[in-house]
Amino acid sequence: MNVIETHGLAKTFGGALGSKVEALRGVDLQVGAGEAFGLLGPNGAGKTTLVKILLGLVEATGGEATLLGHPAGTPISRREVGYMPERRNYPGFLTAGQVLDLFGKLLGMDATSRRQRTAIVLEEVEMSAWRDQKVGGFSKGMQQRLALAQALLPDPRVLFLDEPTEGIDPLGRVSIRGILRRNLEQGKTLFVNSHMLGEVELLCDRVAILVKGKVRREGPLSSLRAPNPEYRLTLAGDDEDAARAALIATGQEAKPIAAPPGLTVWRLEVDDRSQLNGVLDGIRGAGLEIEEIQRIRASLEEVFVQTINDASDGTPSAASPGGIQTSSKNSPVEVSVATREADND
Amino acid sequence: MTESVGTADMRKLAVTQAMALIGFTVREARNKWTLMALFALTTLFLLGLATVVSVDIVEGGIASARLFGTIPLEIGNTTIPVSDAVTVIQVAIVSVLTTFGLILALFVTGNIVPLTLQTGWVDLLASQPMARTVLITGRALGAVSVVGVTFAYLFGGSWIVLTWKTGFGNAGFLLAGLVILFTFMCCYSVMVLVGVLTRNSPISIIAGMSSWLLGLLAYVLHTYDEWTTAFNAGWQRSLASFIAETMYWVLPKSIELTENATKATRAEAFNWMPFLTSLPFVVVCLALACWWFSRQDY
Repeated sequence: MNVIETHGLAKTFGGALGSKVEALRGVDLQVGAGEAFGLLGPNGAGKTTLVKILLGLVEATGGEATLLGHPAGTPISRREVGYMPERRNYPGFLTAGQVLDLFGKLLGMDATSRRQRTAIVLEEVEMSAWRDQKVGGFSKGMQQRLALAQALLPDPRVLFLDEPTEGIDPLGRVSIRGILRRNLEQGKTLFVNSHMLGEVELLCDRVAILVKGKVRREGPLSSLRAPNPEYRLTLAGDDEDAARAALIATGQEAKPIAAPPGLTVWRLEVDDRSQLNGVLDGIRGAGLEIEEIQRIRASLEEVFVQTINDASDGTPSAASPGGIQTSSKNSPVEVSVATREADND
Repeated sequence: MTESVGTADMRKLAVTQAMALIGFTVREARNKWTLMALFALTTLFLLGLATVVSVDIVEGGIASARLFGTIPLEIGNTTIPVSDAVTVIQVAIVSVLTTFGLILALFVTGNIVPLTLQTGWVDLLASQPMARTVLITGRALGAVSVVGVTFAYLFGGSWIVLTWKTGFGNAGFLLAGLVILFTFMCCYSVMVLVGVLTRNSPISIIAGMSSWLLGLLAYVLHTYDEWTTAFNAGWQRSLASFIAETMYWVLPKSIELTENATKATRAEAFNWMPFLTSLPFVVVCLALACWWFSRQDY
């Protein structure tokens, strides 16, 4: 059973007097119960807008969306949903316990349930000792944990997480990832909205890449990161000309990759294993020594950048200022993804 | 059947949520120094009232009155009825509260709606299983509760002190408190609407006060219609008169409500017209605020 479904979901901001911005342009998504789903995309891709439509914070201008079988945006659809937004602004005069008590009341929980759930979720996010401390004095990481506790308060079936580990130190990230995994094991559905591809890779089993309001790629992480028929060949010695000549003789294009001193590194493109062995035989026949041969497996970052570039007709995406930077002159493999403070779709 | 059970549950939940928001608003106000200052001032006033008023009553009238128990205020041979003396004091309190008290109340509650709409807070609240109408209504009722509690303390306290000191309990004075609270609600409904539209506390406070002043202006224009003779053309006079009358009937009846507070204190006949004609203004402002808030993207 799908807990989240969208069909042709569209959102256009702006109106008759101002310029129009198409944040979503016909998004079709299905997320099944118990899945860990990651929604990726550069700045302005429409990720936050999509989540906000599902939660009733933004009204769609087209298409349909359902959450737990109810039309998205209706109060009843949010009864078993937890939401951890990227930005949160808890009143500083409330203690962590009071924040959770307030949200427990808004969820319709009785006093006993509120007390019990507050203790459980604070324990879960390792914040029990801070129950009676005012939120105003909390660090960003503690506020993040409190937000997670609040999202977990209703013991939700679906958990929406917007940048769940943004601004958290590495140990904190491991801890939060552990909490989310435990909830996943309990059968909860996770919907993670993030730029931190590494985090998504570690947590989610299915992802969708949203670019300029459209889902450009979607599927299980394993299929998106399927190995390329490409290899990275490292040869001993720094005679680049000899290596190039040997590779060309085997029918390769001889694409060099930056290499440390005393070695040359090449990128091979072959159709199958027998062709690869033929290339290696030719290299050995030319008197060159093979240091290392490695199959190149596409990382999520690669898939992500490739998807954005495809959506932008090969030109750097206008939708990704500050988000994505390719850093290699020689290979599209070497890509760095810069994190940023906020995602205002 | 399932749907109707779900709807009934959601209605019950809406009431619980509104109560939670009222409680939160009161707690929020308690954490503001302005409200605490207001309570401290009220306490000082009540203590002062208890200390200052010292009357000797002979055969149901005030024979002499003392300030701080030491300075005698000789009334002479005239016997002033206790009820008159108490009423005069209470009318003075009501007069001050219908202006300064109202302004203070608007200041104290001015940022409640804009605070609700802060990024990072409105997302958290509006993503709960709660209709936005409940959110805005709960916060507005919370603001009215905050002012109501303050007024209850001031009016109730003054009433107790004066009753204790003079033996005369004037229930009309307590009714006057409710009239002023209603006047506050009229102005506050404008603040809710403007707060939702602009998310700006100063602008919504100014709007709330302006509605009171415009009501006053409309009363003056309605009562003294000679001003229309300043226009030469008949159509100009008709248009001016139409605008003034529209303002008078649409806006809250600031002056008449104030008069009613005084009348209540003096136990004079109550005029219900200002309430009946001001109430639609409150309802329309709140309905517009809810409608606007419900269709906004956050």
